[in-house]
Amino acid sequence: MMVEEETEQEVDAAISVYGADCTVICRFPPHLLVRLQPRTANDVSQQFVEAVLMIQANSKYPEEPPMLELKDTKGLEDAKATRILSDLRDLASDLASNPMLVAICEKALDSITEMNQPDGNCCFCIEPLVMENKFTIMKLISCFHCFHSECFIRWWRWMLQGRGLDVSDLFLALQLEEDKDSVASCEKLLEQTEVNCPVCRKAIHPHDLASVWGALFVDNGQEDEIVPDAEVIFSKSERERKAKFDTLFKVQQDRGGIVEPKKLEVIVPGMFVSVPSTRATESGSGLATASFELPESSSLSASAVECESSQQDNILLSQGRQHVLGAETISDNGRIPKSGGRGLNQPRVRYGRQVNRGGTRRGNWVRRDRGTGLNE
Amino acid sequence: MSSSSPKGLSRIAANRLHKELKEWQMNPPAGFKHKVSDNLQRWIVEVNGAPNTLYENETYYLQVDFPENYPMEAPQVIFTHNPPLHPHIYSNGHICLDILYDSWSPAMTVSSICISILSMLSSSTEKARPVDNDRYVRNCRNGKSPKETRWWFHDDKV
Repeated sequence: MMVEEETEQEVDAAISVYGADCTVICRFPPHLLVRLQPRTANDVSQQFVEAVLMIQANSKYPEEPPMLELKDTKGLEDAKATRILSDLRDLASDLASNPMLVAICEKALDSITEMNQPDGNCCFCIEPLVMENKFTIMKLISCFHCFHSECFIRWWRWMLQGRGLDVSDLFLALQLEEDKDSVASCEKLLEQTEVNCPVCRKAIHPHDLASVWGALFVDNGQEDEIVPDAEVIFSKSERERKAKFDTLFKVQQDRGGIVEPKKLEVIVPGMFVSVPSTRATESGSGLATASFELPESSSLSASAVECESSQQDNILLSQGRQHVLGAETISDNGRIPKSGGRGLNQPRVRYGRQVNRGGTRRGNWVRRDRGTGLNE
Repeated sequence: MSSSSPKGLSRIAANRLHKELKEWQMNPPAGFKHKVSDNLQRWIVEVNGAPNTLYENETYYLQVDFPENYPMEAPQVIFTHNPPLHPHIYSNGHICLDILYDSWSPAMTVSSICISILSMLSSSTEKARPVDNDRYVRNCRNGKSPKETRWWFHDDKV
């Protein structure tokens, strides 16, 4: 009876130390589940490993040490989990006949804190995940898969672009709503694009993105593609300039002075098409001649662009809203795919459906009708 | 790295491929040989049919072409020369396998692709072309890439 009372006190002690992390399945003989999280002052983004310690004793406790198991391990290599467990079992047999529940939990927390490092390589670059500072590595909260923040961001931007979303436009939209809460912003972004973990395909949680939120919109300077510099794009003067040209653009549009490239149009000589700098040599001389005057008599219809190649000077585009078409988005038959985005990054045209979950699948093909309705 | 071509590999893609090649040389997937060449952007991989399967003692060649934005974008993987007779491999070498198209993830590597293809070969129970082979191959006559095909994946078994 005395033993039982002492043991129940031990269980109470564990409850008071671990609070919500401690689940009591049975008070006597003690059967507990303790959630083990590295001691990182509650900074969840810096926890790269996690496990649940199960302590199950029989009625001979504490003479006979309890059974110990690690469950639901995340980010922890099997070898490491085995090592933690054998250390704990050694401790338990050393402490036989003494109160040991809290001591075991403390030891487990120490070990897991010691092993709080992301394992292996980043799946994007296959380079080791080495923590240089708090921001080099990010972790997905639901699956604990880790990546270099930089690699993950590059991929995320790519995914957004593939779905026709422009990062800068999105950011401006979110900023205008004066949304200071990054998690709320991530939620909004994820509403528009479903993104799954590249390793296990689990859906990505808004909190996962919150840690890299700020970085998503900053140019890391290493892209080969043209990525607008966030500082310039979001600077006050640039926004004012954009607003000014937006107004001018609207005025011109209202007067019928703007002929916008429509999705089925053919590029004609003199049309303003920006070409990535690497291919500048291939671009025509008409590139540099984007005029900015408002023609008095112009009321060109969109269809005129296709046939009236001589009237090139009438094609006006506001500099604030250039329709920039990357050379690679022009399909081989000379037609321009849908030009939806307005930013510097023309969204890549992608046809893929949502990624299948689970194992690989094979089957037959069906014809892909590129640009439906192109040739009626 | 073929630097002269405008669609050459990006710096990131080249770094990643160097890493993959190094890892491959140290630990090649069983049944595969990388044909040594100085072209990082196109790998030719020799495939040997697994023992106790329909393709035992047979040798095939995979051609893996990497896009500028690899690994964001999937590589193009086709069989060259004489593609194996398989219900999901067309006579022009195109392979109907979802991870090469819609289900590509940057976490995959050439090595993991090769293993998937070998497992696809190994689980085959008959040596036959896909039923729609002729129609598809005719449709691809102008050197169309399989990445431009809209594939319909329905078979979880073979």
